[in-house]
Amino acid sequence: MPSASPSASVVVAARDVLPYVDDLVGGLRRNAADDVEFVVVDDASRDGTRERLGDLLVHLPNSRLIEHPEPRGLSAARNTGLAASSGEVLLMIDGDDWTGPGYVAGLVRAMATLGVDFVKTGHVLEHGGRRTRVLPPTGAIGRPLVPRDHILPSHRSTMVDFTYAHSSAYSRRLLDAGLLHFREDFRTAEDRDWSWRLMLGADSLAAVDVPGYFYRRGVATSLTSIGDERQLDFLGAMRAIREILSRDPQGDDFMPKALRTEFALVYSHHERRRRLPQHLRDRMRRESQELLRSVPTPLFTSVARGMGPRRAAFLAMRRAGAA
Amino acid sequence: MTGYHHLLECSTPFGLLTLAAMADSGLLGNGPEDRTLLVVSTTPAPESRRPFHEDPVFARALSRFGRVVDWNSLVAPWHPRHWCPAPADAVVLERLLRRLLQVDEDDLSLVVESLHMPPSRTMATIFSTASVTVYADGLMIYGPTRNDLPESITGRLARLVMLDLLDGVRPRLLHEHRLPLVDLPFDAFRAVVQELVDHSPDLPAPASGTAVVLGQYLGQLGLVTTAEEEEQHGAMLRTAAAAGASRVVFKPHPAAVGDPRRGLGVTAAALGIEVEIFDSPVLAEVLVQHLRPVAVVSAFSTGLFTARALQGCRVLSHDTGAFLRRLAPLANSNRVPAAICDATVESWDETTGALRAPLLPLERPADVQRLVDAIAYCIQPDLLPELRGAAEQMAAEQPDILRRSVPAPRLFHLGLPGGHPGTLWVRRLPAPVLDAVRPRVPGIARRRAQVGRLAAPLVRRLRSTRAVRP
Repeated sequence: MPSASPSASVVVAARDVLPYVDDLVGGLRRNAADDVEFVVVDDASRDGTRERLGDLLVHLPNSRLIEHPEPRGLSAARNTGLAASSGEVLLMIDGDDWTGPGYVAGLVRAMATLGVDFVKTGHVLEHGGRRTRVLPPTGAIGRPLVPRDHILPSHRSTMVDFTYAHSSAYSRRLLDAGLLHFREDFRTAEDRDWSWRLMLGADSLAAVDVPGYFYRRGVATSLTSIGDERQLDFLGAMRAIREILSRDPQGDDFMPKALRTEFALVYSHHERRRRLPQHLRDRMRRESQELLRSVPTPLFTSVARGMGPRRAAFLAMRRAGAA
Repeated sequence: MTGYHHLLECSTPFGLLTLAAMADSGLLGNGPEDRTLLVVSTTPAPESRRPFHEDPVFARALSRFGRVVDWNSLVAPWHPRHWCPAPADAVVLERLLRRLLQVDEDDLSLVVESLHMPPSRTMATIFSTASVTVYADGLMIYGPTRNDLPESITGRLARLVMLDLLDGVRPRLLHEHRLPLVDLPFDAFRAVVQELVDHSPDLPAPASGTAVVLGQYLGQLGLVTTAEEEEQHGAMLRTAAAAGASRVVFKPHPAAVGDPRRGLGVTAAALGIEVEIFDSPVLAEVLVQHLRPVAVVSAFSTGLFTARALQGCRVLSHDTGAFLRRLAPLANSNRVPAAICDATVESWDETTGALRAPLLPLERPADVQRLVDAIAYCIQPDLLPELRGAAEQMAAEQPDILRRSVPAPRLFHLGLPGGHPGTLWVRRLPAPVLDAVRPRVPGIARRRAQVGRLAAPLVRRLRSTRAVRP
């Protein structure tokens, strides 16, 4: 086991988060150390975020600001930051979130002692002072696990569903193997196929209990609240997951799990369809129907039936072209 | 109070100094071993900032307290403003916390800032038998109690400790509980401030003709936009210049975001005065005691009143009336501090470009008391019925001053002179309808009963107009 503490890079992706920049950089400052570098990527903010970041990062040791001249999305911003990083351990933070003291050091220590490809910890969901804890969906805390053993079962949330790129730490090995790269054509749901690639491609992971990541919900600029075509990127992400699984030796075992997530997303997007304009609703209906039809009937029936009568009925109707 | 162990809530540097002065005045037992300080940070993202008490400048102030405990760590990951245990859990938590804090004394005294919300409320709930002392965290104690408190807490209230910043004007916080008031000696407070003056490095050098401008975080409170805040800063410089200052030390509020330098330089150059920005967590009181300025300028900072009472400084405000008009809801705890400042402090009038004498000079505390009582009554008529006389007198004799703080529809619904029911269409309603909704006896519950269920929607409509029209 390595004894010296490995160096760490903290990659921050920010866009139009001016009200939160002071908290963000304050939290980074509380995690500053000789062997921790901060790579902050501004994705062409228009609200003064970049200027404020520039002012504050001057006083943060081992930090630098990278600017996208044109907005390229969260995935691209993370990719830019990861490409520019040099640490052995990599962390990601979103620009509207913040961290408490000991967070980076705790994850780096966990990586060093456990010797795994990546570790995932919980976070605190923050909504105007009201907070909720979100924890990794496993009780096996603090010991190395084989990622493939923690994908199933389908009917429960597992590590593959715990898709948060933040509140985790990754070995540079994963970046070099191309497993940390985010697909930039997915502007939402970008973490879905990413999580599958990571779980299938990495050799080891550990769930750990390192507190200190605060994830702000209800932010106005948050993509989940925007009703445009970016919402439909989940369809592409689902196709990508199926493709990944089609090439995997255990793909047939995992397919019901992936389909269940996919079906659940189709249903929940249908429920929230009113935020979308008519032509996007039409497109969503068409493409989700194609997705459902491409699943062999026995497999479709067994997955849908496990999701309860209400969702199963909707999915069958959508597949038949009646919903 | 001797023979007690004191658990002391502290969320600001000002609070720490107050507690240190209380300790030095013999209000908190005999020595450090009798005191445990519970330090709380209630900023929106407290984890992202170093707690203020870790600054070495506060080491001497902290030496009065045998033990210093970080409350945020105890309740992590929850926010101390929100976390309060269920009663069923509180009894277990009290046992565990008493063990952790090693306070097994029967005689426990809890000293807190503002009982209407956590963390003070949380502490009072957990330490279910402790006697409760409230200490002032500024001018807010002159306003009424925000929410009625349960008897399980009010039955244990022991005293309200305060700096008498308004020359004998009595606070109305917890007034309904007939709480004994304890004045914190000015000398003790000044001595604690002086310790900080002596141990703060890098304070600006005193010079003749210096004024201090205290920024406030009104922008963050949602009261003004950033642009208006910058304009406000410029006006404060003009105020200082009008008071004869040739140099201004500008202290931004520690919680304020943004760069105060924007806008200040240009104004200063136009006025021909020198501006020094002192962006430091050092308290306003420390800066003022060190500089002995010719004037202190702010919107409605408590710092104005400590400067006046403790140092005898001339104090000035700018445009506090505008903030008062925007404050919502009526019970906003900044209303009474802003109203006091608006009425009692010399101010700068941007339109006439001249200084305006105070409406109610503090040299006549009885007048100020009447204003404080009248506003307190208008906010909490049910809790403070005995203050109705003051409100009636004020509304009849000095309606213009009262109306600066209390909107006319509120006066109308309380049946006070000078009120009107709000928007024009309502005012044009036939007299019998208006009479029906106007209460004969003050008190929201009784009013509801009188007006009856049918009129309730109309009453709600009328009351909602408060926010629309001043």
